[in-house]
Amino acid sequence: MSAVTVDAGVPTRTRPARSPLAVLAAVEATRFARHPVFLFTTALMVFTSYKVYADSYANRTVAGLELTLGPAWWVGLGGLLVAYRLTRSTRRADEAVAGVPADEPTRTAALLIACLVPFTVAVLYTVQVLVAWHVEPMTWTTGWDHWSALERDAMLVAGGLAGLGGPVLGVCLGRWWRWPGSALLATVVLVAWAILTAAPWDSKLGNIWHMTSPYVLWYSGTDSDEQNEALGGSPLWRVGYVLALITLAAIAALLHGADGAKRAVLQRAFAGAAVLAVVLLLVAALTGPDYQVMANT
Amino acid sequence: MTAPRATTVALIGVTRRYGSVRALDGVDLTMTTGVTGLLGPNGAGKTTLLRMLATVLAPSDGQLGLLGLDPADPGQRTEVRRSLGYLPQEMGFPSGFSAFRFVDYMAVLKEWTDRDSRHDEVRRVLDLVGLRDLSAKRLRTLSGGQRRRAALAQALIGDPRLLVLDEPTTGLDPEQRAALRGVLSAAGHESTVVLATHQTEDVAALCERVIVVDGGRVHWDGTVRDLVATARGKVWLADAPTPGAQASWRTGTGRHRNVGASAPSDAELVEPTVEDAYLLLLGAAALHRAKGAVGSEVAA
Repeated sequence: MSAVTVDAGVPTRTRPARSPLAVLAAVEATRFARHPVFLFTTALMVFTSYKVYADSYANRTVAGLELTLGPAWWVGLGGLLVAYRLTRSTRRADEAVAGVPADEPTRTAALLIACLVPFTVAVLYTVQVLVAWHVEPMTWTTGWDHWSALERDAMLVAGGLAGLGGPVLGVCLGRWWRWPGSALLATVVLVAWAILTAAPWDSKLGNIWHMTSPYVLWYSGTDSDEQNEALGGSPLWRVGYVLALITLAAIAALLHGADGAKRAVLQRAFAGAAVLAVVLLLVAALTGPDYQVMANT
Repeated sequence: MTAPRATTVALIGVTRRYGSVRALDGVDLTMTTGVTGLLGPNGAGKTTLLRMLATVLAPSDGQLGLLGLDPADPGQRTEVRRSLGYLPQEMGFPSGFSAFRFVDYMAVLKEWTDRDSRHDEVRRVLDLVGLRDLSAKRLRTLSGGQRRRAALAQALIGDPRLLVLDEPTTGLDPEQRAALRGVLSAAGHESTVVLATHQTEDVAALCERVIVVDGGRVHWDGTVRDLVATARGKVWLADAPTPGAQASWRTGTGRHRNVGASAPSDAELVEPTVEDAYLLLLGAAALHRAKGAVGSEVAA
């Protein structure tokens, strides 16, 4: 459809000096940082993780690799709920918001950038544990020597990445799943997925199965068991897979409301990220240490 | 002699379909600066037309031009939106927001990136709608009229060149409505203001031009004075309802105001209003539809 020719005598506003996306992202980041659920789950993560951390060094009773769970559980799942709420918070004003220059993909991008707030918390936590592991390795902990230092670090980094992946998924759900309770259901599904895929399975197929989960605890059983089972696969390549999953969720979120050339570019990017995710999943599952029964130390 | 005003809105053969229903059916319109009122019964197509002017909805067929740009093109649509203010018919608010925070948030979405000037602008528009003193209050604690004014404030951000308002006076008390008329008439000096309303007195008080829409088509397009003139000689007072009158009701004085195509020869003719003219224009069929709707609401 071509435009109707009319006198273009009406002045239009000059383009803003600062990027509207940057300003909007700052607004959304502030909203994220001040959200009570985020503050609450962050406080809980700091508290419980500190307890685990302190006990682990003081009593040598707590499995050090479980420290990878902190950011995934608290910041990942908590951030998912917060991001969903923030994304959906303007739904009642959707009609008015639809007529503003900042289109939906721009607003989504601002929310995705705001997810760096929980990610920063997860990164700080990860760095702190990483330093502790290298200064005083938790050699008493289950499965510690089964993996190399680099692989253990990768497990920790993957847990930290869940602090970004959860909130990004929350934005994605907020755009596509608009019915009440969908974020809560998503958290339940994620937890169930992580539990189901943690079941030991001595085969390459088993590796693929447990690698699909956004969070993996790499061994089964508890420290009180006489023996534990180490899951197979490469923690290093899994970091790439988790990054690909986060990218997929981000692109899916941006696709909502995108039109024209922008939509076509995003669709191609989504397809590319999907292929990359599958490849990285397979590489992660088929390389690295094999499944192994470990004697508990 | 004043210079001709620039055309800011142009619709040529614009149709909008929802399935098999034609909400708008081949509408041709042009608009310039000034205040234009849209009148029409529920379901006439007013909101559909306004949503198109607000770039929220695209035509199924026909051509639409806004501020010299083509809203079908994503880049040009964004450019139109930079000069647009839109108040939807029904508007909710993000939970937990104060009036200031909500309008500020909308200002950010409208690319007011400098914090100080944005806050100045938010204070200005809240002042315009008389909400400055309540700006720190949470929206959910405000009355319906106050919330409506907060919604209006966001539409006024940046003195938009095109202001699209769907029933802006709903929920406002007479003082607020009078104040709002002042704001909108001032906006009409420089901008194209299009408002849909059921309040014919707002149209009479505010609009230079009135467009009556029914069944997705434009039934009347002209000045308010010309619309009122169509009812001259067709409105009269009587002690009882006059048989054959299109509409008749008992007024506060106890006498009956009759509106019809032909007044009796001995009728006491009175000056018609926009509402009288509107009722005559829509005709008996629309009135019967309206009576049916009211009857079913009462029965329900």
